Amino acid sequence: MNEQIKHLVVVGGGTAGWITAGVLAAKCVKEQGRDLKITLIESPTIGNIGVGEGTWPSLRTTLQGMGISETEFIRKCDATFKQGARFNRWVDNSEQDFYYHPLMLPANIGPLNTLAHWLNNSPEAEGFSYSTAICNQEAVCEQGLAPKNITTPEYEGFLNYAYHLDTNKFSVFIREHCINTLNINHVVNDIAGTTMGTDGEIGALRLADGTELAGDFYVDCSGFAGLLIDKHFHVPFIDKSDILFCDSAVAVQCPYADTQTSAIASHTISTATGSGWIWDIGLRSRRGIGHVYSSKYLGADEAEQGLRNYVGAAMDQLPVRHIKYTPGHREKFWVKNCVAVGLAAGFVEPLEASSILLVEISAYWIAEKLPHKKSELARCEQQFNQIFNYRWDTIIEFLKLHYCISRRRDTPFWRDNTHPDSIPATLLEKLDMWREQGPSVVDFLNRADVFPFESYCYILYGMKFNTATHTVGDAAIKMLARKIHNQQRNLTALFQTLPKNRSLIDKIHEYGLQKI
Amino acid sequence: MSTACKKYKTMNANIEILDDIKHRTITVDFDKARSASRKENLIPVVLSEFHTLMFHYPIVFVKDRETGEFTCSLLLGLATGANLLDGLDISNDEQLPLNLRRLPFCAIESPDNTDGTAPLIGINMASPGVGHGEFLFENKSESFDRAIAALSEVYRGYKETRAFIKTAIELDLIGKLKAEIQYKDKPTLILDGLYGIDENKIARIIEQDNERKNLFLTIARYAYAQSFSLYNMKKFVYLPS
Repeated sequence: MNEQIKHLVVVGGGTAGWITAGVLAAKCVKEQGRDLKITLIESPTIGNIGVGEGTWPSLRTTLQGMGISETEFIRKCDATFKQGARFNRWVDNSEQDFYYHPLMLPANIGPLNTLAHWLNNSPEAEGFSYSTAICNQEAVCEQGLAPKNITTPEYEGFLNYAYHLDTNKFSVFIREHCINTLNINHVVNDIAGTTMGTDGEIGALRLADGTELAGDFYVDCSGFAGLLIDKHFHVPFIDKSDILFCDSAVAVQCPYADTQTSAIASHTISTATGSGWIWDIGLRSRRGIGHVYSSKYLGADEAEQGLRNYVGAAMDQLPVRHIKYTPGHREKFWVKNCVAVGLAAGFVEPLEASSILLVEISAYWIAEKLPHKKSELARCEQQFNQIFNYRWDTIIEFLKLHYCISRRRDTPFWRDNTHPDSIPATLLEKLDMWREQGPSVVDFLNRADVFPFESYCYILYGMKFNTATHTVGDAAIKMLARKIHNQQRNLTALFQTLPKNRSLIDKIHEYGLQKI
Repeated sequence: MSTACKKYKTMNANIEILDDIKHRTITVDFDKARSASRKENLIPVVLSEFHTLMFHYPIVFVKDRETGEFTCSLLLGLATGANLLDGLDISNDEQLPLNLRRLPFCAIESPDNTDGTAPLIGINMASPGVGHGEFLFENKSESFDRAIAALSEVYRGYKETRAFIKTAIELDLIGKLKAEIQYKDKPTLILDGLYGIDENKIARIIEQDNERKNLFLTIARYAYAQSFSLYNMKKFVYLPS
């Protein structure tokens, strides 16, 4: 048995595989100078699933850390700027029903209780939502503006931002960078199976051509197939469809009416339907639109028709793609000398773009903690599984929040989603607490939390969840009103500074962004 | 300040290709044409001017608002209204950048300028200098010759300057300048959006990469001129605003 970990093999060449390999090469090899060979093996025959065209701002750090130019990334991945999500028809299904989950943290405008009280009671609050009162980003998104301008350096912005991207183009782009710049060893071959190593660990990968590829540590990014975590270790999958009902999607890639002039939304549009929701993501050359739904409540044909109704005639000649999945995750992600990342670890609906985010934070964890000796793997296994089980549970809880506090009761899907039986006990407990006391930052002290206090507030108050407020003095209200007024003044300056999302993307294609 | 070089497609309606028949009766007052732009805060410069202008004005890198690309410019004025050209004899070429000296002319390139054809000369009919002064084609004065010479030099210099900036970016030599002007009786003025070449980085790469030493020394010539020119920043303190 080779005690040293000197060769790491990533299985799978999709987004998860290349991000993981790239992060490990950048952090472990380039930054820490570790003697670690990284090999990525991908199948010549199995295509990518290509889920998740939405990302989190963390991708900026990831790309920059890998030495990727933001200009090149935007040009080659059809990428655009994303500043949050607009949720339509999630609260009461009325025409005016929408709220935002922006990517900016709220401005420091004072105690949350004062704001909640002001929003509920002050005549001055007329026309303000929680999000517009504490953050300028909703207004910027509504105007279709970008988060920066052409003179802003790469990866910086006036406002926080992530990206919408074409995941298939992204996989190709990041693969080239990983091979050419980060010196990742690339093997194209099908995996026929694995050989058993000491104590049940993976010994080597048996390849389709009869050869073997042996590593000291393996990262399973083989997608739903779970070639290592499932086929070698037989780790059970925990089905969470009792909480998150959606298990199917139908998607279409829809060109713009005019690729020169059609506006590109700088936010994801998520429109709730009778038995799911529709995502609408604007890339530079097309929109990616899909209907996520629960097959228990809606048939595939009806779901497709729902999508057609949303898109309109533009969809008539376009091919659609139906996807089935089971929401949930593995019981364990790390077993002996293998860790599962990406779809091999689990999958939930892309309501908060958690897919690529989970890949990133998994990769960073591995890069930070991957031991030099195999004898230390057991500790990592225990720690990783504990943290990531918590993360999956809290992500599922956060996604459920979008459904369970809705006032919609118009279909069985919504009635069941809001029924306490489908809500995790931990979430019910928090909701009870927030009804009585209002949410507080001290409710979120776990460093492993993926969605912070601020994100919860955007959803809770965006969905008009009634939290307790106590009486607030006039002075505090006046102070709050002044701060909100000042923020509105800043908004005027932002409107003058920021270009339209498409205009900036087009300029980046023509001139590029500067690095400084 | 408008650029010295225009493409047909981006030509302002006021720019006309200079034609000795069409513009036979046109008159130009060159000092007036220059004066109109003397209040500009930033005026683009080319490398060939660095070693003359470095004694008079700060040379900085700024980003073009439309394209985000770096250009080399003289920092002549501030938002306060103070300008280093105030009180200067505008007809004296010695301390003036080419981009003022070439006015009211500009160069006009064909849209695809791939064949290296020389550009045409354009004239800005909206310039305050046009319609006054001497007949342009009657005696082709010294002022006319000087403006054309300046235009020619600035046109040639753009390409060289762009290449210099490109190399400086590739070598990661450009950094943000921290510049602020402290007045005795007014709030400090922070100058944002200015960039310069990091002399220490230049010294380091000259030391480390012997093979490309000559390239780096060429860059260093201009980099040190740019760096030296920043001493002229202090002149702003004494200007009325």
